[in-house]
Amino acid sequence: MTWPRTIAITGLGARQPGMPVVRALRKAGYPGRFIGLCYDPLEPGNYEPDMARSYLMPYPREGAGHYMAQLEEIHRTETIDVLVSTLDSELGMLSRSEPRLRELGIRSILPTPEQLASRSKVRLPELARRARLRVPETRIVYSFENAFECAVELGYPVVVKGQLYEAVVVRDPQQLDQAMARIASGWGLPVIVQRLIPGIEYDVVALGGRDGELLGAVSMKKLQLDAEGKAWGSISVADPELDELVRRAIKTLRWRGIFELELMRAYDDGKYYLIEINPRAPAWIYLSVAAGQNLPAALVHLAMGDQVEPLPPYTVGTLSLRQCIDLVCPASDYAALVTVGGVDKAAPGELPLPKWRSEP
Amino acid sequence: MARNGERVAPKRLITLTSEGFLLDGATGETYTLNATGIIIVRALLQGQDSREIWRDVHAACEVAERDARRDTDEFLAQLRVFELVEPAQ
Repeated sequence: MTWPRTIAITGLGARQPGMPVVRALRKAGYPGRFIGLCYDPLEPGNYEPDMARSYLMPYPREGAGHYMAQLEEIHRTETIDVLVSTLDSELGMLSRSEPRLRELGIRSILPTPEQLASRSKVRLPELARRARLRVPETRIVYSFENAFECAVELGYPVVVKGQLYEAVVVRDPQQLDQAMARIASGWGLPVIVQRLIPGIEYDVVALGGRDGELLGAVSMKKLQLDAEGKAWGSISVADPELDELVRRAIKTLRWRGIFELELMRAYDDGKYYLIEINPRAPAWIYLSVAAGQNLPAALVHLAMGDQVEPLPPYTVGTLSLRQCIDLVCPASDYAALVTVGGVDKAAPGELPLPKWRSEP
Repeated sequence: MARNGERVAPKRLITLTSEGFLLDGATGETYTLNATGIIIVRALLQGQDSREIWRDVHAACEVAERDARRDTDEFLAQLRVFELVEPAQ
């Protein structure tokens, strides 16, 4: 198997998948260097000792032109071999820019724009029909008035979702009004209104090869949730029914790269309902590594053009519990990132930092 | 209730430790069993039928046969409710 010399990685926020992917690649023995691409200088992954250098990127909403210009400039200095994208918000732009990435010699495994669109929250019911997957009743709404009508039709409580991020459970019209205002202003219209399925949450992370063949998949049950309902603790499980759902999803999508199925196993009928398909590695990806399938490493090998065989069976009953630590660094690192656009931990910053001690 | 001599099997991915920690590998649900529960699940994992199981309980726990049989039946019924066992092939 071939390793690149330099991998650029995104999603370096505390609850984003970037650092778990870095950890997974180190676990697989990746000997090269990591370059961080961030949108916010306070993303803690920028200051991880293992991040050789980090750069501030323009937001994808500013357009592919700005993003690619910055990336090309970084590439001239760093010679990026592989780019691993871990954020929904940039994937559309990167997917459309894949031909240019290839020209630059930056390898990546990205879904096509069509694949990305077909698993979007807005088109999930249509995909579910094609793949014979159950989804909660879903309405796509373009106005507040329409949202209120749909919520009454579906029956409260309902889940209100943004096109890319955020999901809020609302139990009455007043909560719906607040959720619509926040989500529509943050992520734009349309907004997704979905029937709430009370149940237990399961996720599956899977990897599709170059032709959309299934190379690996690890299922987990969520044991702990954070305030936004994201997995904070989980355990690997193996249910043949989940495996079948993944097979149907990947067969329909012909997905290239890592993706995540979010499912709810309903209390009332015990059946799995597909809630979302996320087009990238989830923040809990390291559980798959600990259980025995290093999907990020396989992704990088795919990007390098290696022949990747289906991954071995994984261990059921592997527990993952997230722990927070405070990452510390001198303000000069932060200063370098916000002024010259990059922080290089190999070269100490020039900001003189005074010492101080409170007198007793 | 289990019929006398009925054979049920634990689901394929059930794991039981000697201390009574039971993991359902399909759902991720976990349970802790008391000593009697351990005897019963261990016997199920060895492929015993319900008659053999309540006899084990009777012998190990020094309770009347009638009590051993009732408790075993009730426990097997609970395992069914939690979908931890299925009819043996």
